[in-house]
Amino acid sequence: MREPVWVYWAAALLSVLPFSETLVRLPSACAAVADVVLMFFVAREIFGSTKLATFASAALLLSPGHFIQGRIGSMQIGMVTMTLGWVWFMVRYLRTHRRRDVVLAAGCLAAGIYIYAAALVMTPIYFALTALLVVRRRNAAARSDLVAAGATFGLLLLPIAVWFVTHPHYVLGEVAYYTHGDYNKNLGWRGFLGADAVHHLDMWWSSFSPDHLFFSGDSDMRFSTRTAGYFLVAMAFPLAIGFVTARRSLSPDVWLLLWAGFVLAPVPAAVVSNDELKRFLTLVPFAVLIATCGLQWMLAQGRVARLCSVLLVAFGLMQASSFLNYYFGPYRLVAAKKMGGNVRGAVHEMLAVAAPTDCILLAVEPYYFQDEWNLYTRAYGRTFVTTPRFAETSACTGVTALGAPDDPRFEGWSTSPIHEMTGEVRLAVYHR
Amino acid sequence: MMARRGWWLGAAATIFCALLATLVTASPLSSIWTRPLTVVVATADAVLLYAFAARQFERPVIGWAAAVLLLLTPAHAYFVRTGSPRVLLPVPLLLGCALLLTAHQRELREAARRARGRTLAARAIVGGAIGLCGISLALLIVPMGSVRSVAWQRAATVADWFWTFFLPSNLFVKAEPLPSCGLFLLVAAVPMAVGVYTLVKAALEDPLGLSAESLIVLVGSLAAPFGAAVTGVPPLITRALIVLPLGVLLSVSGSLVMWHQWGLAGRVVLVALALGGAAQAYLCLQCSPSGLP
Repeated sequence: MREPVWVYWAAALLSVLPFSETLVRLPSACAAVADVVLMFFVAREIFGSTKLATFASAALLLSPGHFIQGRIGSMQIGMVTMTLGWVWFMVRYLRTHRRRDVVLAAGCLAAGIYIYAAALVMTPIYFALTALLVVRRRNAAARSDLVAAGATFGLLLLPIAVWFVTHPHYVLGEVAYYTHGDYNKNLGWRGFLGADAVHHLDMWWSSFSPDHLFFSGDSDMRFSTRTAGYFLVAMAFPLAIGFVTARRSLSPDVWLLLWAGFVLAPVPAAVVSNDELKRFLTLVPFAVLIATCGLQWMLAQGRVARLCSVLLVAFGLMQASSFLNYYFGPYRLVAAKKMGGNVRGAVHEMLAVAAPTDCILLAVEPYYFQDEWNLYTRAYGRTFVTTPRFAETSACTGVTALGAPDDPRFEGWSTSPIHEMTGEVRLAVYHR
Repeated sequence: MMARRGWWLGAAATIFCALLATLVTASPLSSIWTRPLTVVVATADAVLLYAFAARQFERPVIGWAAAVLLLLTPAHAYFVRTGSPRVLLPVPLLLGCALLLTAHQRELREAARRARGRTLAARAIVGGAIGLCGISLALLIVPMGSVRSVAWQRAATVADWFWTFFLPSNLFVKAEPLPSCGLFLLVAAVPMAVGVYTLVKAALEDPLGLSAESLIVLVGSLAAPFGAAVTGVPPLITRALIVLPLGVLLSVSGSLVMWHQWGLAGRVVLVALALGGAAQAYLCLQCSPSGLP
């Protein structure tokens, strides 16, 4: 129930396309493309310039953090789409004061809840920001706009609220999951009380670390190449200038919207004490918009400043090219090693040699093996029973096993070594 | 009068501390001299901070308050108690330089200062952009894979250490190598946050209208840990102790805002914080640094 939009979107795609690795990536890729398009409209609404809107959408497209999240087939990227929708309608509302826009903005926020768990934290905060921006107008129309937005927001949240009430064990399970183990330093509720509470503040602060933003990104190789940050390093300069100049170049309400959006984005990361970008992806569009503000200021200055901005864009493109070359090249070698080796090759080989009635023995189980196993058995339309123990294979007519190369237990079995892209062998498929 | 006093005090402090630093680095001090020298340096810290704060806020009593606050700051007290003149010496040296700089700045006419400010800002932007492009270009196209990778990793590490220095827990709860306190007293967090907000807001509204003292506090607070991250390894505080007086000045600045602009509530909060701060300072000073009796 937590991510129904994602589930139904994937199901809709599945109903018209055959299951494949590409299809698994398609929902997040669609969201990433939608983000880039939406960014164009949002930036054009804010800056009134097609040139700056093109820069903003290109900056989002080439941001390594957003690019990687768009390719990994998971739902968190949908938060950016909903946030951009919210910002777009809010900016329109702040300009025109049309009730329809604030209602649509509230609708976008509520939709986020059905996309990713982080929205449970962010959506109420962004709705409070919406309410603040509406009541700043201080007139009767603003009050009725707020009522309309609140009613829309509440109405759209009603189904999930009812579901939570009727499934309390789910809520308790989620709370327990995000306050223990790798999250919240395994402190449970104690993590929010006393001196330990400062770790949440630390995590919020760490989310803005220039190391993460511009140099190495997340520490997990699934979400980062470790050779580029969430943004291209060339964006640091217009971002810094944007922070200084946006206050004067934008209307106070739009500035408050962008600034608060940026500063509050890492709250989910702070709550669970985990500073991976997926928890606060909504930071990316706000950073891009503030950097666009910086670029706007530079372009409005003298010839030298304009030349500098052109140089920055050029070097940004160079770094993007360097990042993409690495991402589609050596990164695969490095990441495969970190993720347990050529698991895809191993699963392919196992599916090729195993008879339909074979038992599957997993003598080793690399990192995230189960996910890859589920993906490829599904993609090839074949289901097997897997077992981690030798003793359970005695009754089988045939056994296909995944193990380490030269495992003495498989002596006499037919062996297929699984080569890494470097030629190294870390896994082998055995058949009897 | 204030400007002239800043000149001679700043000049005397700079020369004296430079000589002292040369002496300390040239030959190892005997243990007999370490304690008296530390006391001299700590006293110089307090006196110079008094002079700087009295100039910045134009009231001597605030200067004294800042000096006392510095002496009660856990990190300062720790390095005084451990007899570490080498760690403490940059503080009076840089405060002396700051005094000289602000005294010089005061003598300039406002219009000339603004004009130069614009030129400086323009140069900083152009220089920064060209520098960033140059570094990016070197990292991207210079055919030295390993050098490039090392430079990138080094930049990432420095950025990480620099940012981690400002973690709230490091500043106010527990900092290495202090036994049980952050670099500053926990209660200083509130006025310091108010001070930072006020200063940054003023800087964003009118960057060229910022006083030299405010500029020194703002830039110095960022530059000190950055320099320490470039030249050393964590804990950075041993190379970035200058942030202590600058942090104290931020706290004092925030306290003044709370006292004058927040009405009765602000004053009550400030008094409560002062009492809490005194209690925490007492507790922090009770904890013996490791290796001391």
